[in-house]
Amino acid sequence: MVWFAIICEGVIELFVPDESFVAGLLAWLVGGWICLQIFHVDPIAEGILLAAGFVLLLAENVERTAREFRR
Amino acid sequence: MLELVTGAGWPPMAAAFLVSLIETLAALGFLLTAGAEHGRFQALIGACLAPLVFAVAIVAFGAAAWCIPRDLIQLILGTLLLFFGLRLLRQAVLWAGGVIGAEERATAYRHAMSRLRWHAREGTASVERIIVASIVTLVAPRAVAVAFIVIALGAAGGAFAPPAFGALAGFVAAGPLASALYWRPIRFTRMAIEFLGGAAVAAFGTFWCGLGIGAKWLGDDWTVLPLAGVFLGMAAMLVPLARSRVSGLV
Repeated sequence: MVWFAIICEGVIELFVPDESFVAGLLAWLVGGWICLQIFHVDPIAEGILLAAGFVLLLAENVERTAREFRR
Repeated sequence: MLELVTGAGWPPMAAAFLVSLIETLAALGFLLTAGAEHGRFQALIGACLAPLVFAVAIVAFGAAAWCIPRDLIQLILGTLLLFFGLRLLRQAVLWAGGVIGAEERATAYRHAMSRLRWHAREGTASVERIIVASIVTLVAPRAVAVAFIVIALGAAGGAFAPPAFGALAGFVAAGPLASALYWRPIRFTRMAIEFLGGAAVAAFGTFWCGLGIGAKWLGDDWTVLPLAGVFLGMAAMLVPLARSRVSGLV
């Protein structure tokens, strides 16, 4: 069943390019949920913060990957 | 048909079209390389088996989406769409910035081929069967990804026809596009398609993740467009940053 394992690995790689990146996205999402449900932050403001966080996480990951490539 | 294009169905249709185009072009690349290295017959068999994988994935994802409670579906599918879209966007930025090149993108092909060749030496399967299996294992994840995008955009958005039509159009357009852009422009065109597709899918993912956790968006469904614009704008700004990091100027 090697072929099945390779297909599964291929599918996972399409969603998880970098474990720390995905962990950061999930942490931001969970933090957003906590802010909404427990601290009752304004839902529209939370939506904007959510999107801003995802964009910044993308920027951080690209910058770190490029810097590590140079090394 | 006109309603698909002019109504609210066109954003998911466009997103599914772009993703289907990207993944079909990638699969075509693998098939052409495998055909050149190992023979057209094996590549043809691999190409014929890949749609079976697509059909199985559609049934599996559709059944899973049917079983997931309605209030969770947007959160789970939105999260997966977000990961997929940001992965595409990240890859496009790193490619455009010179961090990853054609060699790295070809590594997946060589890695899968070498693993299966090792098993051909150790086991009893014929080399031809192993080559066909190699081709299917490279093309199948792409088919699974497109199936997921169609089901996710359809289930979370409440209509399957627009993303299904978009995915089919992307699949059909990939062949003529690859033929027409055989020369240098194909690298730029593929990069542009990955930027647009990644931004669109990431925007949908962000939109539905937000709804899933209880956030609200100004402009309701049309918020996807400015979200995609923000992702695209940020990606465009990251390309020179990546280039400067690679060259060591900053």
